[in-house]
Amino acid sequence: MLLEVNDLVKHFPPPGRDRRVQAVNGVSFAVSAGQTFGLVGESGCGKSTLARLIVRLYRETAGTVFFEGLNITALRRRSLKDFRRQAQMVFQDPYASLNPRMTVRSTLLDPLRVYRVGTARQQEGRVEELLGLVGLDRRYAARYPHEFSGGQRQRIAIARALALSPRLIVLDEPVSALDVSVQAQILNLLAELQQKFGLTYLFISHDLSVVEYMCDHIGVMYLGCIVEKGEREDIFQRCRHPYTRALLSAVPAPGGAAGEQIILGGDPPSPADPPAGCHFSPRCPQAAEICRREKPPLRDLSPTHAAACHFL
Amino acid sequence: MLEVKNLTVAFRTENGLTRVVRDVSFSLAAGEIIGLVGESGSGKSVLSFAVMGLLPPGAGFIEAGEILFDGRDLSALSRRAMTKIRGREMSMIFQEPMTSLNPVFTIGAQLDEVFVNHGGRDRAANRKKSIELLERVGIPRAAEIARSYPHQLSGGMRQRVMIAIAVALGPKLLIADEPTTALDVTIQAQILRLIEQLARENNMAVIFISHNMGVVARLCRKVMVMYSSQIVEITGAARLYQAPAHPYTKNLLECIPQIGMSGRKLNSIEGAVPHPGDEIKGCRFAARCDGAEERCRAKEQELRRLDEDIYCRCWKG
Repeated sequence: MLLEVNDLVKHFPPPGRDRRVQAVNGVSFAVSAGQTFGLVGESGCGKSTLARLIVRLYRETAGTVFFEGLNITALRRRSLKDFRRQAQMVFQDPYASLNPRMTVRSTLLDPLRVYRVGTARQQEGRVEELLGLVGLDRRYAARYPHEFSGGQRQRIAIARALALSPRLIVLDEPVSALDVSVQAQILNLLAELQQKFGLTYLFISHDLSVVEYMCDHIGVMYLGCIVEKGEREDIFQRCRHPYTRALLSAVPAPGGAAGEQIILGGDPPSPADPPAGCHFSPRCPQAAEICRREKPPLRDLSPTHAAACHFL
Repeated sequence: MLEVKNLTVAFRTENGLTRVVRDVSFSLAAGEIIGLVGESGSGKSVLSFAVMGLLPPGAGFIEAGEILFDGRDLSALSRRAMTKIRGREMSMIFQEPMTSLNPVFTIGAQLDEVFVNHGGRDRAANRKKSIELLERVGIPRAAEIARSYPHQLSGGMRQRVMIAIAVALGPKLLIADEPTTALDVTIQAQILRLIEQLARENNMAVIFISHNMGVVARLCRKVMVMYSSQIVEITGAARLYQAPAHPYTKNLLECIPQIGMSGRKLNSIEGAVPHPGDEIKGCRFAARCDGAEERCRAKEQELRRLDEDIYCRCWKG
């Protein structure tokens, strides 16, 4: 396993005197090298917090993250810097994640300089190589982010993530801000780069069709917890959790979705004040007495498939 | 009920006239929901602003064509006359309900205002109507919500409030500009159902603008596809997926990952959408079209009727 996340918890200190925001509440999963693990869920379910915990942009409240057998939650200074070289991140909004005052060239040189990779000449060569890898003309190196379209900017962000030849790239909604024709270009590029360099992806998205297209394994999150996880087919062909089922049926599929649509009532509850028992119970069509009392554990349904529901 | 004929909208810019909607024609019957899809910059929003009479004064104007609404030509009406029609006969909702609502007034006050502006003098009666409206759009504890501020509501709830304001006076036409784009899928499903229900109950026509083909297919029976300032195809929602007529529509559909197609390479359209203001000889999609021929680049094709209710702007459609 390249990445192993065990019982990861992140609570944010209360703004004012409210209860603590339980953004991530005991999440475990593992990703093997060269694979893509997808995290899906609605806004506020904790998927982005989880991503930031894994690349150590946040400190966890409890739990561990192992990267190639190394507990990264225990890393400090030098060893943390070494780890960061291996794990890079691409964000949703390419308008916000690139420094508007830096040219593409200096954006791409930055990581190489920080880690003192090669000579100045080799670094320049690497910049050209990176631009080629993401399908941008090398003459673009002298330009600034505002001169590019959203899709081109996301290519630059991907090139920056690739600069230090990482093993893991965490992609947080990398195509959500793009038009569909551009989205397809970026997804194809990511698939191609993964094959070329044996990259491992943690792919976060709220778009189920994109996740299905990109990911080998998938975790479905609801209010800080994984409620169902499994291989692609486990989730998309034989999902068992009522939330996953509702989520899948809510996807407006081209050509009209098959089967009856399940429409959930209400909004997802606040992570500062999660409901008692199963967090999904207030919106669940099949909730019973026990669901409001006891939180169901994640139970194995097969060697690859697990779900957290009392009625399985 | 609504008939748009050869509408061209232009903006005055430093570089002269920029046309952002070109030769658009379509019609809409009472109670009908029509979808308008296209990528960003295709002109969908400007088209809807033109119908609403909301083009920025001094800059945007209707260069040619007409907009017939219940027999009146809206493009010829004065701003004052248009103000009377807006709200009462046609209204609009937008993508981001947070920026459309005023953060310093309660939900109730913003709803009451609609009735005040249209002659409602009795405060208690206005508030009663506001609360009934909130109930109609599925807001629980409506009286309590009426006293709260926009930031206290979730995105889905705010969009319900916007819809309540838009339908308050029982308009005949609602233009919904990406109303569910900022919402989660389970909330989106709720809002789509609500729009459908209101359209049915009030015999209200809806122009539903979205970049999401799936959403449009679920909600509408008829769909218009816009590309770089023009409508390139008008067709039935079911037919859009089974037999798209225009090469752009075909290519665009192949770009969308669909459940069950992992592992296959997605199609992508090379190049970028031409700026709607660019004057191009011939078909605006020709530069990116696999099947483009000499005649495509030489002369522009009209939106041609192929079949009942099916129109396409391509020789080969």
